[in-house]
Amino acid sequence: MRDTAAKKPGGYILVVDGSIPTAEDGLYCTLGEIDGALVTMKDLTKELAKDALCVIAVGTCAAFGGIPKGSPNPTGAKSVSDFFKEEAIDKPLINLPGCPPHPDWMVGTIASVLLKGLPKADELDEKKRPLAFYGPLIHDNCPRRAYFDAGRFARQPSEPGCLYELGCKGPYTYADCPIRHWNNGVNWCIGAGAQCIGCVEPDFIDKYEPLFSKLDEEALERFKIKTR
Amino acid sequence: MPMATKIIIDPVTRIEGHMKIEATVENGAVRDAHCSGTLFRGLEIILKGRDPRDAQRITQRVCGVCPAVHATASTLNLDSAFGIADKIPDNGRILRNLVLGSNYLQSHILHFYHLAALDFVDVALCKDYSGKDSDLRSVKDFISRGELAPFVPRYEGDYRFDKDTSQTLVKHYIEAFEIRRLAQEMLTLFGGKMPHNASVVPGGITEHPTVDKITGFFWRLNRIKEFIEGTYLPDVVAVAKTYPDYLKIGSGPGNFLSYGVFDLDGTVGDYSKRQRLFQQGAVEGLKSFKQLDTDQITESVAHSWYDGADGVHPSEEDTVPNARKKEGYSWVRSPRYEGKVYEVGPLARWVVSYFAGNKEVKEMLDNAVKDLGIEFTDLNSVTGRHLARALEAKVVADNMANWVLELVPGDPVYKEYEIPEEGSGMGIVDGPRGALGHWIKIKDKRIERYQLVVPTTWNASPQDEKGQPGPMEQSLMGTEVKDEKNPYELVRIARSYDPCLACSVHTISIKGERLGSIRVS
Repeated sequence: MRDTAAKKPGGYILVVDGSIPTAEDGLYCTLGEIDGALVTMKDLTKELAKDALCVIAVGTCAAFGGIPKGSPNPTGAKSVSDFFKEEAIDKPLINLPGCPPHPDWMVGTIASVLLKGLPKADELDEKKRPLAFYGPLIHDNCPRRAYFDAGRFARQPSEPGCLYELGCKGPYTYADCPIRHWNNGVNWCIGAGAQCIGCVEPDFIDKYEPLFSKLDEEALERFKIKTR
Repeated sequence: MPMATKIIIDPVTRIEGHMKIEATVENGAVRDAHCSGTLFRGLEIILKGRDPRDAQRITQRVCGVCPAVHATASTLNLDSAFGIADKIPDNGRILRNLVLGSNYLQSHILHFYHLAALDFVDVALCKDYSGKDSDLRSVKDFISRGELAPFVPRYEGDYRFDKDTSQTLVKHYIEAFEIRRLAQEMLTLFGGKMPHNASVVPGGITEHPTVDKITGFFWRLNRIKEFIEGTYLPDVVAVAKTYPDYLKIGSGPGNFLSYGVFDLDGTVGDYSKRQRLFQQGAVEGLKSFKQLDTDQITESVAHSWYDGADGVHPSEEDTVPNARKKEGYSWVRSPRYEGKVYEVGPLARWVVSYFAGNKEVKEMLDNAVKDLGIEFTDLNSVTGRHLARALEAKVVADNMANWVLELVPGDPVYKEYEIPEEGSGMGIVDGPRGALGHWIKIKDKRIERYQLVVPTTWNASPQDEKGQPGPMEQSLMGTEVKDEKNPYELVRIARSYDPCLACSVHTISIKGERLGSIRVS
């Protein structure tokens, strides 16, 4: 990685996986040694970002902080964008959240940068996610949507009906899971009768904990706007 | 006084997670070895105060390689805390087995072909491939462009297969991708997605077995079974025969621990006594079998970057990181059973099942020992670990074919429950890499304490307060290193354990020449 950065300044994409632990001088994650000194993820990210064409934050941890950033955030975990802000690093950034992110989202985004260059401003949402993948609201494309409109709700897991009462986060989560499906198009969370937990959203895992709690009015606002 | 040389392999690649090996070599053999986990996230601290059910979603996200077994262990843990461990409907129990079993197959094949095989097979021998196979031609093109990652950098000097065999094995390396994809799809049919399935929850599972799902599961399983029997097992035997010295290299402490796995009956609430496909128990010194007693499990932090007492039961343990602790050299703790060092994983599972009287395991292991013309004790080695893993893949796949037919479409998959005001639970089960335990205490319907003791914590543990090195450290110690600049013996030993560091975390100073300060193996 360091060779590439030295040989091709401005000619490489830095892909960051994982949030960046900043407490204890970054000692919570080290990635090897250089001349006997430990190399922290914090320092390596800073070093490699300097000459990158752009940075892609892969996964919810890198994009938004994710589970490690969950209260009380014992390692001082930061998302790439928060870390860059703190370190005054100004680089084009693309966020590909998801726990995990769909392989199509990753390959599609990297291929797009290679073929067409950096995304235009209107190709990303306000959280720097490519709209091609994170555009649609899960709730709008959910096969159980008709149950919601008819007011038929599942009372416990494994029942038919809309999973809204069981804490499904589909009405506030933007991703193309219901259309794309996972693992070669075989299935997806709601397809297996389980609630969406909003793993691509910045609020994962704190704002709507418990993860199975019913969405509040504020969360539904986004969905009302979207569906009117 | 002989010159001691320190070999540092950091990071160890082609494993999951962040790991470092520091070995002191004297007179051509490893005198001391330290294994370090180099990432800490504090999951157990983050879980405090949350809804107990969130533990199922959060703990499996510890890592994308074996989330299925964390989903299983956390779910068993919650079932027991909620008082429904013995009330899960059969459909739920079987579907959970199928989800976990799919992950076993994927994980074992991943480990052998995509992580370990490159230690034994020289991919560069494909550069003058002249046949018509499109996979091998593309590997040849790939190499001819100078694109050598992930095949290099590597340690040179000990590739023993001839050109034709090497090319065949590389072909299997490519085929294994497709087989793993099928195994992931199988899991996804009932799990929603992989990594991080959505359906395995306290109470059972959220997905129903339907005829089309069962059919979709079956054809994939049959294809995987063919691969295991016709390709995976013969390839492991070929490695065993071509590298016979590895039956003598990498022996661990000789003590083996298993929590058992794949519930065959859901009516016994105590997991340490439940009937499972592979048995629970401990075998000390490759001879005496002991029933599993979970009170004997403790953890120490003497050489880990944590504060706290040594010899504490996981249910009573707190996680207090101390990144600057002087005596520390790892984020991994030191779990011990009866205060002693135990190895976990497929080999441990098979040794325990063997001594527990599992007929199928006994017959297969005895046959393997006979066919290879070796002693039973030779199984405590690099090769023994690979062999047990491959044999296990076959047995798991065969049993899954039976289980899928035991599903009854239309029958319940889920049992309702209430979260208690106060309570405690334990979820123990073996994952692909070995014994996994989750412990919970609930207060005011929230998590008061949560602790995980995971397989690689056992295997990659640092020294404990008594100075006993962990299993992997013991395996490295005494190993002859032929070429200190290419310590391939050491990475072969480490990889035979299939270390997976992400969930385990929740080097001595001897004067001497320091070799390449950063070596990517």
